[in-house]
Amino acid sequence: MLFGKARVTLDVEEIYRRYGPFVMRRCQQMLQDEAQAREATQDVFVQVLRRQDTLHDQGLGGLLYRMATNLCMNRLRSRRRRPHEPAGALLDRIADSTSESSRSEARDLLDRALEHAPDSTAVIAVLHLHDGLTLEQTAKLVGMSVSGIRHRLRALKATLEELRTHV
Amino acid sequence: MSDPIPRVLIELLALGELDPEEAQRVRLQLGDDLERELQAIARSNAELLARYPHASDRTVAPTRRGKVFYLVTSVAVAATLLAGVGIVRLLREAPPSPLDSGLALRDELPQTGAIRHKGQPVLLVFRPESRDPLRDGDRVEAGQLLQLSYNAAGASHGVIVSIDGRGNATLHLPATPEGDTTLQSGEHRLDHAFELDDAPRFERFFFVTANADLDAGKVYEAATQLTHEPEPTASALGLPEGWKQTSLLLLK
Repeated sequence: MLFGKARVTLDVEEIYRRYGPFVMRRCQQMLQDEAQAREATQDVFVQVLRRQDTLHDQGLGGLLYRMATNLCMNRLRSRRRRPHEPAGALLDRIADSTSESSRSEARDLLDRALEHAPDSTAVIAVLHLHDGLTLEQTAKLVGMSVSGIRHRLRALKATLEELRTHV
Repeated sequence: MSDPIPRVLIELLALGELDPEEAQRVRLQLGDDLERELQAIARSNAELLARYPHASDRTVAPTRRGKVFYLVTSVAVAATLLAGVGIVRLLREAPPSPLDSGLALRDELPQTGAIRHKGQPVLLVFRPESRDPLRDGDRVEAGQLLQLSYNAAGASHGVIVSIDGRGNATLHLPATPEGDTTLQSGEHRLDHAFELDDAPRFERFFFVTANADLDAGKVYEAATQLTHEPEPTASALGLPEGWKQTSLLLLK
């Protein structure tokens, strides 16, 4: 059997009814394309389906938000590899809404994060720099300490600085 | 003038999933707009659920980087999926999806490395097209896909992390520092491969194991620390006592 699971511990459709629109709005916000947002939303719930033995059906908002963010980032990354698709504009839109850096710095940061950072670090960068969450709020949402978040962002910026010096 | 409230906080407030202190802060900041925001979310929820009433009209199991095994189903079949009924698999090309952890293939692992390393936790790194695991010191190139597997050899928990010649550390298992570190028994292939970037000189993988829960964040931090050491290709990770580690060095 493909999944090897006969035991159902979560009602995915019930979870979808509770969280689906929330996830869809997040995907739409990042991808700016309803069809792709729908696909990304489905991908999120397929992951839920596959992880159902280890998830609880309450308090999933933060986890689903992170999953949606990461999946959308992957889609944006994929677009960047296909020049005929306007991923640059999409990344610009993300960068434009940042509140902590200049537009060019933010765009550069996000762009490099997509290329070089671990997925979780890239998600942290988006939550903090694009979504406008404070370090504390970001830490809560990803389940890390504030110092851990600072460390990741510092490491990311250090990587960028290093990359810039090699351009 | 205060900063705008992050959208996600309003969404989590509507879901009732903000802690009381944060929820109160958001309510105060929204003030008179609170009710309007919550009603807008409720309206949007209704509209989206009317347009897309089910979680999926196809169910997909992304797996290795560069390739995705699609499980093509109808909504009705998706329901049977929940009951564990078999599904047709179709192979097609698709973009990578590194966060698709938990979407495991059940392919059989090549046996070569597992037999060779029987009795101790072992990390195996394959080129997807090969059944032979890479060996310490083997050459790899940017753009190459690598598939990670492990044999827990009885260890209950583990973390896989890598460092590269650019000084980056990458967490492979679990997907996030707060993720579950429980290992599968016996041989187990990770559910995603990854593409090597153009970091110079080397990629070094570590498999850290223990018979109690591990803090993946600590392993990641140790790996990050190691990138600053004079000999990142030879030194061990600085880990708490009792955590075992094995590594595989690939050269570029």
